[in-house]
Amino acid sequence: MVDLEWTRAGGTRFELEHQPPGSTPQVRYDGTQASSVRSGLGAGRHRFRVRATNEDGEAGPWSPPLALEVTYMDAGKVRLLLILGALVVTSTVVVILHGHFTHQRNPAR
Amino acid sequence: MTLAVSMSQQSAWAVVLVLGVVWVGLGVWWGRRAQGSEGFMLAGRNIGLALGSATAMATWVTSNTVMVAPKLAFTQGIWGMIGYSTAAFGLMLFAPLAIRIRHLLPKGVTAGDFFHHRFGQSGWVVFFIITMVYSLAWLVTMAIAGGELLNVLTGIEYGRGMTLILVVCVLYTLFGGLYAVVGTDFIQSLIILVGIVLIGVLVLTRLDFETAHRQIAEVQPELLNPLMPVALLSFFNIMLFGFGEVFHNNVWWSRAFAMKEKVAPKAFLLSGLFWFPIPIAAGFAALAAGPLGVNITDPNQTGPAVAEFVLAGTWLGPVSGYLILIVLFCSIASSIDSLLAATSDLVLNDAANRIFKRHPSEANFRRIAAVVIIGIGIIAWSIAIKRLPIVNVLYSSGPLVASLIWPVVAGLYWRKLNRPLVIAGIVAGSVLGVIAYYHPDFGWFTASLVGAAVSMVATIAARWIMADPLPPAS
Repeated sequence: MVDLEWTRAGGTRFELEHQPPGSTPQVRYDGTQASSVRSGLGAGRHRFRVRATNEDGEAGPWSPPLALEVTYMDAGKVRLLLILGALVVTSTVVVILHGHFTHQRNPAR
Repeated sequence: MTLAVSMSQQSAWAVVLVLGVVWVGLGVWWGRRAQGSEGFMLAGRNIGLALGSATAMATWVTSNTVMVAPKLAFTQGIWGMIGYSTAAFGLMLFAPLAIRIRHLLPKGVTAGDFFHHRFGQSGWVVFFIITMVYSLAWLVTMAIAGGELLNVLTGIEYGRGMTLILVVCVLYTLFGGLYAVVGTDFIQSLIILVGIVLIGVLVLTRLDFETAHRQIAEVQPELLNPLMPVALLSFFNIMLFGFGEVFHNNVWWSRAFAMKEKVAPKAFLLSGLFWFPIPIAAGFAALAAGPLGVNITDPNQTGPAVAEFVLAGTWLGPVSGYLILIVLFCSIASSIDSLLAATSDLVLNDAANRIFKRHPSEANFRRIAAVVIIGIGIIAWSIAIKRLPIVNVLYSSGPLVASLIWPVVAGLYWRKLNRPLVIAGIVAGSVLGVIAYYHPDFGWFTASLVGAAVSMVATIAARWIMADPLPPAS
């Protein structure tokens, strides 16, 4: 998740351009707010830039691009933690169901 | 951030004051039935299926359900959306546990009774510390969320909004005890269900699925990635956090004791089934934020922002703000009242008996209960007014409550346990889980998993190493 903010100086409307890795840049926001949160970005280098439009509708220059490198957790560690998660959850469910049916068969235990 | 809802501050005050007066009035009305301590704390142990299912579902719909579920969907995509809904499994799995709880402790009042009965004074102390940290953090975050939501939706100043919602909940819990909580929860659950389903349906009608899918795949590809690492890990983490919350907390135990014996398991199962689609509906709306063209500036407000955008473009436009406000007010109130009631029961029953060695007499009970409920309300207010980042305390309490999962299950079903080893496992799981929460190599999405796993290993070992017989049913 990337939280982008820019100053309002000299503009009433703002355009936010996003260039994902290996793609052409596209305007992803055009409005009056001075911030935008972008989520779900793929791994790789992303570039963002913004420009303001004044009250007369004249667009200013684009800002210098902000480059961000998006990386994700190591796959081996993820796999290990996932196996642990599945093991703990499955064991918990099995122990509850086993205890429940044992108790149903013999409530005095 | 303020949403541009179609509502003046005067109208907003009118809505929240009318809601407040209705809840307090109903609380006083239902509270007339609360005779004696059992009537006040456990609604006479006579709650039926409809009220039982509704109160469990409404309590579990917190501000987190309508705020965090959309945030997770917006940041983690489909796994974030589905992952949050797995907290419903905690309610469903509590159904069989409730049968055993009623068999083991037919006259039980709180979760503390169970921990003291099965793990002695040391086990109870560990449980009491964990549950008070968690319950107070949950209560304060609900109060803060209430104030912030009123501020964002209506412009009502944070302190006034937070105070209003807390005072309303304290008043009706004070007058009506669990009767009032369960009764108001029933109405609140209906409002929440209708509101969220309505918003979900309206999102569906406004979305062109093919275009939306194409746009998300191009701009936010990780939201559709079934192998997104953080989302996959948080799936198990949220599930175990949910198990820990439900299995240990007195909010749920007091309901298990308060429902008719044969009703409790069915009510928990039904409430889980009813609750399951709510985060999916709320999350789906958030997933559609990009394709709908909603610019998210604060992820915490993703749900209300999308709801406001979608409703504004429909025949509900002029009243969209009211609808969002009422649904959110109900979801927050239904959790605050339950927490106030369950936490005050713990103080009244457990702390009085086990720390001060005195139990309030029936004649004095309501007066002392009132003092305790007001006291908890004041503590929550004094923390919430400073707007401290208590939500971090709540989230980091995940490993603490997750480390109680296995001790609860084993304490209910197993006949022998090495009790000191189980308690050591709870402490170790809590400490290591909190370390994982703050460690840069692990993170919040592994903390509850670490807490539950460590405690599980210790509890399984405690069954075989120098295990002593547990006390019989009391």
